[in-house]
Amino acid sequence: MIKAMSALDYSLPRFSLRALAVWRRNFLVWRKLAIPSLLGNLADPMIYLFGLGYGLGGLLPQVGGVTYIAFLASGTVCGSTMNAASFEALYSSFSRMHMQKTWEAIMNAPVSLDDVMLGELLWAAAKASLSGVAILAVILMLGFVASPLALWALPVIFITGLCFAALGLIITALAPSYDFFMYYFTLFITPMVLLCGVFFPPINCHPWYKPSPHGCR
Amino acid sequence: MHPQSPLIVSTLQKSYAGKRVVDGLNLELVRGECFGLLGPNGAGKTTTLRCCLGLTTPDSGAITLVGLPVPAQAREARASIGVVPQFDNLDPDFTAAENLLVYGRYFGLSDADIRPKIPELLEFAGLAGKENANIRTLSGGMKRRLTLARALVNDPDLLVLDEPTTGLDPQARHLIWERLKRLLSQGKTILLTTHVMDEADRLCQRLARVDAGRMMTICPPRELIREHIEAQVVEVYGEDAPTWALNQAPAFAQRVEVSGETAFCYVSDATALLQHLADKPQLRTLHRPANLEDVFLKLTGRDLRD
Repeated sequence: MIKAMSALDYSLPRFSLRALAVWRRNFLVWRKLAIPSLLGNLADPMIYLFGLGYGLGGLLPQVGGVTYIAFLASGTVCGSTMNAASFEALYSSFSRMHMQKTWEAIMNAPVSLDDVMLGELLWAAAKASLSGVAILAVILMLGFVASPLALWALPVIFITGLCFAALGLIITALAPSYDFFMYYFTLFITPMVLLCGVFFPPINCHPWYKPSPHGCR
Repeated sequence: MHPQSPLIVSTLQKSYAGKRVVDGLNLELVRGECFGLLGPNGAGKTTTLRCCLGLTTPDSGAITLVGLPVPAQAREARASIGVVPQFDNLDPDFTAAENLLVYGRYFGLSDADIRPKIPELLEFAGLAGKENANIRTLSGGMKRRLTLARALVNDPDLLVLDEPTTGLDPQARHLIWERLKRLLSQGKTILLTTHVMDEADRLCQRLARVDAGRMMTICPPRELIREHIEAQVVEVYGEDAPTWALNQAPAFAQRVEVSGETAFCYVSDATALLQHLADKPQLRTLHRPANLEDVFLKLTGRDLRD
């Protein structure tokens, strides 16, 4: 007998391997549109990188001991990983939850909501990592990074992806509509991009503002 | 196969925002039967199904699905269940075959297990050769059939269908019914909700009438008709029908209901009534046997139930 079980369940999530089936579902959709998706994920940050990097960089002396474009390049890796994870966990997950009822279909099978969440989280992190790694690869090829230590960025990229995917999924769970995501971007993501050292070192800011070092550096 | 009943529900209760949606519902399916939950919109049918599948946690009551307690072991229990939801939720990004493949993976089946089954499932759904069809190009009836095929990917013991033919044209509806009968003949158990009376009459061995979250009666469809309603119905149409129904009809019919310009006269013997009506050419008549829809309307009223 169930005795007045509360709708709010605070127990720890219970995951199973079925989460991988959820991940694979998203991967199969992505594979059909891989080329335009990758190009889209690469083009935007690259335009910023070269536009600002060379345009603004020409006016600036070195920043933190490197050229401005090399400084901006590492910030771009972080920024686009964050963006890719956020967009996937917000807009795409919201579509799957509300518009397409994909999650509802999945949960009629022996897959729990916990598994769906884990699959979505790992998927958004994986897709974001791909964005981050693609940009890292481009800047390695262009020679903005010389040290093999740059490869340590790989785990950081994945953790950044996980982190922002998880935050995004929380917002998705709370959001009544797509419009709600604008608050998240305007009040959270954009200030973070501007204040956490993607475009300039945080050290140049007002003396009372001492952010923790950016994930990438 | 589980020897016991595929689904046992006792004193199920569920409230949303203080409103009792399911109120002490009891239910026990017999293996191999088609059991229909009949009720108006908002009667609590879908909520009952969601509770049975472990997707909604009931306030109280006990559910045993294929021998397992729900919601505690709902995930394991769902491995032997096929679900056709009320609204199609096929994956629009995939072809028909990919929909089946991906859905099979949710059951832990390997691609090697699923792929050989796909042509067979599509064939069953009347979609042979549509492997590579985009979901967006399928008609409503085709999507419904593909959803049914998807529910069979794990070869379930129990099929749960929430209004399986709502919104379909007659051809598509008949095809679904024919397929469901075929599944019953293979020994599957079916639990369905419907408000299509024809469907309940054709498919179900037993019907439960649900209203306001309560189970009113459980019996075979014919018995439901016999118990609740006179054997014959004479529908009388025309501008004068309401006045006629008020003044003259009670003399000939046991029960008269008026809805707009139609009077429904319920009688056990229609001879006298039809003779009387023969002299009234301004009133058009339709004489037919009583059906489940009449029972449904009698018991739940003619007014909208939203």
